[in-house]
Amino acid sequence: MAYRYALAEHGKTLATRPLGQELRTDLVQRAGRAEIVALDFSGILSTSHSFADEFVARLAEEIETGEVTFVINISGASPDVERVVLKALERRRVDAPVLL
Amino acid sequence: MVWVKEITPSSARDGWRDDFPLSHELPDQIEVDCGRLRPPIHPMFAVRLRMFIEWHRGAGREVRITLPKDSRTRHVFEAMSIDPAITAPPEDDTIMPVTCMREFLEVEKVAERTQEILEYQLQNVSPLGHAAFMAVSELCANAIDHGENDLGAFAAVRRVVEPRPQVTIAIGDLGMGVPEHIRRRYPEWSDDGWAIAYATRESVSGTNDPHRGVGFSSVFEAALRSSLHAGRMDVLSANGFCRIQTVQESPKIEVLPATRFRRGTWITYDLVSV
Repeated sequence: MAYRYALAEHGKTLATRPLGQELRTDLVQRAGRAEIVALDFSGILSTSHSFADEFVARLAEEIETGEVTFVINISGASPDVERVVLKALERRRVDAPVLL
Repeated sequence: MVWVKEITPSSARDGWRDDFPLSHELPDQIEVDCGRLRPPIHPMFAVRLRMFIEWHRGAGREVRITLPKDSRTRHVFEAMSIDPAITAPPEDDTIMPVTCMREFLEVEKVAERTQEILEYQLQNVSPLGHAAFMAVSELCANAIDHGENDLGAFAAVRRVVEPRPQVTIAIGDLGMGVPEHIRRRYPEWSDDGWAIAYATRESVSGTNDPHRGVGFSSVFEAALRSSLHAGRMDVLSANGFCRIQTVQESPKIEVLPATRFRRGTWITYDLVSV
């Protein structure tokens, strides 16, 4: 079962660490028993490193440690957004099943 | 008794020239005469004067502002919301008037609005949108997060057309300041200027979280990837003054002598378009 989380519902840009934390909690609650969760960045102009670290990289870390049981993939990201997300994953050195 | 401050015609040019004392020794009535002011108005001048006004009004003082006599200057002055009691229609080069932020949600709004205006409305600086977004989001969030001051953080963003198109961002807060924050974890960094310089390095943070401390470095990284002629950031905090220039592949950091102690953290960031 797959679940799609559309980030554009939360704004055209995603800037801060508290927002990243809020959306990660929201996503985990909404995803329920989904096996695959698509993080859909379509329509997002930019994300900050703080947001990407708190939302994507920490989620990937939780997958790696088994706290979260679904896998994630990332879709619709612009080159700027993709670069920031990849950098956030690299900084946390997470080897989670993140598909770009 | 009235404390009177006259702003000279060119003093708003660089943002730092005038002293706006935040002191309870000032009398109950304050007058700031901006009558002779002429453009350009640097966003840092706007941020500093607005914070001066709000700080003293918050302390119960009456602060009166004499508006610039020149109509063009007055329009810019009003559009930049330097005195929050005066509102004015938008002006072409004011991307973001002086805005107070106390919550992270306000940082989200300011960062988004800055990028949208740059990318959709101002063609000659539109390639700077992502770099400006990154600066506003990371630096304003830092100002709220580490600033820890009831007055909040203030930011303004302005376009300059000549000699090259550029965007200037000014951010101020009256919190503990970068040097004191960074010395929570690195007490040996006693020189304020060098403490700021080290704080701009990747993964250096005043917190104990090893994943923090990416704010400054991600701002420079975004600048280096933009269609940029040059980027220059000045950070003044306590007795420190640090200048970071991004011209080619890596940021060049200089520690300069500070002219005096500055409470809080004050950042100007110029992004010059190609």
